[in-house]
Amino acid sequence: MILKIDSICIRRNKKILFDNLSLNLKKSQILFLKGSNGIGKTSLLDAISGLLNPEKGEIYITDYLLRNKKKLDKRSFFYLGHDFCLKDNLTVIENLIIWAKLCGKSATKKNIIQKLKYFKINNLIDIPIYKLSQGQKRKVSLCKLLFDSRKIWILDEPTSGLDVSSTQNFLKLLKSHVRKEGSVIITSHIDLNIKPTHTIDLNKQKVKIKSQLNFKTWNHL
Amino acid sequence: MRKFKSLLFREFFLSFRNTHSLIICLLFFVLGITIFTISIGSASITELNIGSSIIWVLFIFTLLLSVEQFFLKDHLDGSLKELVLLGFSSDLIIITKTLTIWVFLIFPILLFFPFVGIVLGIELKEIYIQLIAIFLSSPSLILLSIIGTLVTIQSNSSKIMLTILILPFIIPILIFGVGAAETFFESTKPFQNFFILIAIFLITLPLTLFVGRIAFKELNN
Repeated sequence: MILKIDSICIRRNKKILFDNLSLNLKKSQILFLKGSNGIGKTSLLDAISGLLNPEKGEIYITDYLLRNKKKLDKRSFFYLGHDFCLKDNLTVIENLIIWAKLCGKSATKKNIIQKLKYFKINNLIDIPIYKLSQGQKRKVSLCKLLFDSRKIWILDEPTSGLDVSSTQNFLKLLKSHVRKEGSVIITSHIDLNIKPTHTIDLNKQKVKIKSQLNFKTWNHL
Repeated sequence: MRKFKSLLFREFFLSFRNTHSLIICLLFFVLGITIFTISIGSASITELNIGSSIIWVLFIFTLLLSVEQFFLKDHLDGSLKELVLLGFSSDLIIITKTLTIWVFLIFPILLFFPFVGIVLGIELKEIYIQLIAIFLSSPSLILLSIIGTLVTIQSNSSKIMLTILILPFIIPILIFGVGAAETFFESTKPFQNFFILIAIFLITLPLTLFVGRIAFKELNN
């Protein structure tokens, strides 16, 4: 078992998003989280990646309890969020070089150009990010996956803004990752035609707001 | 150590590419002093001996207005979240940002200080003492500004909120900083204020790291 979620309850902004949610992710499996806007897809991914602590229940990644952060190396999974995480005033190649350095990888210019060819954006290497379209920014962001060798990918809306051919390329990338015994947790608006995909419709998991809490966070100051 | 180096490389690189905003901050500092000199008159400033106080006030305001840019963009484009997920602790991020702010903002101000001091009619020996006082108090001021920035970003408040939040904590530093020259020349314990400024830093550092941990958790929630 790569990921095991055991009866978790997630609360965000005073609302209970999920209660008693359990799911499992095995090797070479894609877990597709489906649901309408604001249902809590990103919150669930944040909980899986350790950014958000569930109110109750436990999350295990590769047999380690997520709460036990000493044993669990956060870098055992790769999280690609909905935000691009790119610096507007830097060029495509500068962004990727800095990111690679942060990950402890040595990425040469030649190597990066090679990777960028996958999404056919190798001609954009010296263009600052602020000059790119949303789709091009998404492709640059997705290129990070090509450098990554970790077994678990957590992807939040990776296909938003992508054209049809780039989406196909992305799906091919997912397939090759799964073939190498990798696992993927993904939220997306499009249906994924990759097997074995395990789809979870979060609309059916949603619970009614049980109670409004009285505590205040800094947001309410 | 690798993590620290790669994060420092990132921060320095981003600041190098963002020098125009830092130049604007320095211009604010210099223009502020010029306006004071024109409005009060340099003869009155020398007579009242308020040159150092003017520099200190503008130094603090420049710092408070500039620190936000080192965090806000990272938060908005998702980089702050990405750094946490790449395994960088909030402590390391805060320390690296402090170093970067010192190098790219405080150091140029310290270079400008003698010229500005001469314009305001401050004696050369007092300029040296004030330089040391600013050097010793700047880490504490940066750390306090970082706390304020993190809180205002999280609560989506304005810079005025940051100023109101932080100014009460800055007052002791201001008192001992401005009074450093007087103590040095007139007291029997000339280094007393310097030691107090160092002590304030030693208190501020763990406090900021502690608050930073909570603030980062809140930011990602």
